[in-house]
Amino acid sequence: MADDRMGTQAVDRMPSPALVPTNGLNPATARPEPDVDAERLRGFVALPHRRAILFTDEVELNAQKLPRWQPHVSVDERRVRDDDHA
Amino acid sequence: MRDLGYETVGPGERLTRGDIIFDCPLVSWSSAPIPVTGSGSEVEALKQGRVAFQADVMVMTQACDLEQEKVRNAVACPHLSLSDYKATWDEFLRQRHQNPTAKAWRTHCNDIKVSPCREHLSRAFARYFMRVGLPVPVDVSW
Repeated sequence: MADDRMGTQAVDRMPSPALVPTNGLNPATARPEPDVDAERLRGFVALPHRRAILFTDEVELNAQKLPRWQPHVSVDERRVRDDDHA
Repeated sequence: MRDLGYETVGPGERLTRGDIIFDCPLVSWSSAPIPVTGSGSEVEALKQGRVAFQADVMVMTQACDLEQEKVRNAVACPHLSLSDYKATWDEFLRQRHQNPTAKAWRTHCNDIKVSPCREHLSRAFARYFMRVGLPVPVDVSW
């Protein structure tokens, strides 16, 4: 029963013990088959998602004429403080 | 970038996290507010708000999501050359009345020299997102 208390989400998704295949072993000692699908999902469930498309449009770009964007550079003060104590 | 170091990859290679794309053409929205005046004008307003530009960027989408085609779009962040960053860092230290010595620069760059660099990039990205910041100060006595 210790395994049950330490159950992960994969175990949470197990069918009830009455339905667990036992491989012909004593039900008291048999361990449930691992839920392969739950292990694959690792706790994440992809919910169905519908996106409303407002418009689609082809954009013609001339890569030679595109303006260049430069990021704003900032120095992390906390990181510099850490450097001081390194 | 495929292994521990950097190498040039061809346009036929699959994207992965950490790849740097120079002069990447990008389409985004203008940072100016997009005026929406009435019903039905949203689409036209959005079209007017489009901007196209080019920049050096680094791919930040998780490598396995790209490899397994789990995403439609890739997240990119600006890429900045180390020399450009160093110029800003020098100025920052001078403003703090500190001397930007070569030793201080080496210390500052310690973590970006860690190999494998792609894993280090991923950890740094995760640390950036997991910061906890509250919109209001906590003034409760515990």
